[in-house]
Amino acid sequence: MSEPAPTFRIAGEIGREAEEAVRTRLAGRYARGVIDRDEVARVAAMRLHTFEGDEGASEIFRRCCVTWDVDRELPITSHRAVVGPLLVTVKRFARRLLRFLTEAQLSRQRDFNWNLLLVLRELLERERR
Amino acid sequence: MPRSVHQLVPNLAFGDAISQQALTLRRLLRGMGFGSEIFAEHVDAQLAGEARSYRELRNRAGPDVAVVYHFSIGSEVTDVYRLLPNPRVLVYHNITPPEFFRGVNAKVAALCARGREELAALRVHSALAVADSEFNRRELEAIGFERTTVFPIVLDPDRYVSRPIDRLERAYRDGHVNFLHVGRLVPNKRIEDVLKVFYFYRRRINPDSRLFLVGIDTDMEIYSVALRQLIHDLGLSGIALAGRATQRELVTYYRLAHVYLCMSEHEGFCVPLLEAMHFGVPVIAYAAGAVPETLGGAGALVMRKDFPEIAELAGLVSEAGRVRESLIVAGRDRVRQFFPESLQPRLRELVDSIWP
Repeated sequence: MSEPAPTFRIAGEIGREAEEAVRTRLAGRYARGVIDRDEVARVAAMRLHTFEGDEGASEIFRRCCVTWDVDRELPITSHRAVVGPLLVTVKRFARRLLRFLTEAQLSRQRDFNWNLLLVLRELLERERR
Repeated sequence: MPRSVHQLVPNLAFGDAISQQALTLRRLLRGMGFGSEIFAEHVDAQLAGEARSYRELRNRAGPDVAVVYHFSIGSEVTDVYRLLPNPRVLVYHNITPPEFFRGVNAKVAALCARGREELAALRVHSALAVADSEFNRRELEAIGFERTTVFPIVLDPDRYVSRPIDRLERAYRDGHVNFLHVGRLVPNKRIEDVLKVFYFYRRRINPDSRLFLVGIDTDMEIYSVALRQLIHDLGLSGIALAGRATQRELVTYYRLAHVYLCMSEHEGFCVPLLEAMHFGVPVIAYAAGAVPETLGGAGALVMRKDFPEIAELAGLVSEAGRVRESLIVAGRDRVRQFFPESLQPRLRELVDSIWP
């Protein structure tokens, strides 16, 4: 039986040294049961849950994916030309100062949104099927 | 009147590779004695004053004024370029094949499909088409461009001299092995495979490790949610989703990294590989698109996605030793070939060929 194609290539003599070292280390881990082939196959087979809906449903779901993370910092801006930079600095400072008051609620809201997002995707996918 | 080489870009955005290339080329062109301006449709507030409105370009017609267009999909700028009477050069930075966006963003997929048609229509409007890699040049040739050549992305080392951010240094310089991936969270970059490699490393080789994913997910939010779910399903911790990074933050992440990991299946050039090599971070990258030519033998090129084996390789190159040292030295040698002083003669040659 022919050898499988190498997984990687590093130029020069050092490449052969690296291949040998990686092969030996990995074989040792398999032999000791640190890694098992079932786990390797399971992880390799894991697929991403993207969204195969029509364009309209897909766009609605995408917008939900934008806003679910309420903890994600919104950019701080000001439309005022002269005092704008000062206002931005003040707003940034105020947001940091008040963060401890909102953190617990934001965290709960974030958990709720995340779970709802997964349910929403499942429902939309089921409807499509 | 001296000859001018102006550049046209849809967006001049801070931190974007194409915008950076336009700014660097302008500096080099001016250094060679050419008049050179950038014309753009949108300009980031941070770069205000660096570009003029693309509409002004119509007033710069003339045989001694060449226009270089950094092609981008779905932009009004393409129509302006098409109608210019000047000598015109198209620069192609690649369009991601639409199939990568299936299930993630139908609009972007449609835009990419249309982009290939738009590009083909520019064949007759360009005296020369320049690609930033041989991989991209072959695509241009396949579309039917007659005069094509390669001019790579210039890496200006002066951009990376900023002081690292103390807050990040304190948080992450703690003896852990830091993996790094830089780039937008887009499906062609196969971030899921980066996660799978990291899973085996952290779970089976070294729990004192983390992975920085530096990059935004704009328009790719469905993909980014799917990645978060995969992280959850793998029961994986130690992942820092850094999002958008300022230049100083980017520099800090490179300084903190021990290994750069790229599992992308479509790249027209891949600037982060050069950046990693510049910072002495050994690169492990999957051999797809232009990645092998950008690496130029100076990194570990992955031919087969065997996740535990790649994790083992990452472990080996993250340790002090001959393999790590040789990759760092090779990387530093390689990246010098993309420095402005190395590419200036080639740029001169290219500009001269516009006016044979």
